[in-house]
Amino acid sequence: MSTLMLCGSPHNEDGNSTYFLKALKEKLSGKGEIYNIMQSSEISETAFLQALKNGENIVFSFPLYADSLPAYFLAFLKRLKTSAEGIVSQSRVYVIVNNGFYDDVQNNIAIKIIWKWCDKCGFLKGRALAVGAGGMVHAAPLGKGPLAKVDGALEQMAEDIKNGRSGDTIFVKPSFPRFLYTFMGNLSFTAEGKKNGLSKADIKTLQK
Amino acid sequence: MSRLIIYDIQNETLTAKNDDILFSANPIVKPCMGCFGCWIKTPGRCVISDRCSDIPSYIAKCDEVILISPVLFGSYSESIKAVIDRSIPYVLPYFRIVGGEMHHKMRYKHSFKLKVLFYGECDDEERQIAESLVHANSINFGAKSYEVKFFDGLEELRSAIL
Repeated sequence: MSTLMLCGSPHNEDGNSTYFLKALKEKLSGKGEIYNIMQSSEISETAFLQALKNGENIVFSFPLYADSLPAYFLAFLKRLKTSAEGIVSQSRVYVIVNNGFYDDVQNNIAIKIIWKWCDKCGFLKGRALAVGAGGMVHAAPLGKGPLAKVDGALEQMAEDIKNGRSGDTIFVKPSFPRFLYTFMGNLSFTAEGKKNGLSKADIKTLQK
Repeated sequence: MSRLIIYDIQNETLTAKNDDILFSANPIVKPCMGCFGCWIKTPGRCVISDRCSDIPSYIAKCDEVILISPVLFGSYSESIKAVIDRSIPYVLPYFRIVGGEMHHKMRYKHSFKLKVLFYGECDDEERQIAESLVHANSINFGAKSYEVKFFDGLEELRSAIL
């Protein structure tokens, strides 16, 4: 059976959220459709309602914004609650949240919010995957070196989806020391600013 | 003492008192696009130019930031969240460790009290989620303290901010 995968990030092809969905789709032998809820809001909503009716499992993948869901994604979920009212479904909801800070545990509040939404809508909960240290996701191919554990977690989720299983949240991040992550993250912000002609002092500008 | 009050109350406009800065989260502002422009292109200011662009500098001027929001799945409403997402230029992109976890360094020496007034129906679990969310936000935005209150209706909430 197919799986519906909805990306809740404003970034499309270049973002971590889509990257994880593509990897998951591959692990599901390509049996899935990926839509971006910001770029294809109506298509995503229609696909969601259809997946519910078909009993297909649904995966949301999104970045952590200010300890929670991006506003646009939150608004989308609110809308779905209304449009899905009255539909009784066997579909299970799975969640992948990734954050830019090192600590994967910071994704936990967003996951609780999604589960609360599931409860309010009467949807079955699957499993959530909380991925920290988002800045290192592309440090190696999935499954290799620092990305081995993240790949393993996606593998687990794929198995859960295939078997319609639920389970506790998996917290995972690329294997990389925090001090180095902090150091490289800070360097990269300065380097990105420099590309725009900004010094480090400019980046620290105080607005009046 | 100046306060920034960001509120999501349908079909209602609050009236400013003294130095208060009032900001209605309705109609919903454009969403953050995650471009980091507010950190590496126009530091301290969102690259989307609209009525929300000045919010980070308003925060930097206020002793207290008050958010008034309905509870939505244990979160703020989407309209309040849209303003919060657009407020990240208040902090710097650079990392620091607070309480054993990674957060952003502060852009301003200033700090503010965060007060969140939720209203509307909500269960115990939603209260717990909302409280942990506000706590996490207070750390991320470097607030010196935070307070969360829940109100059934708008009448008692209104008296809490006057």
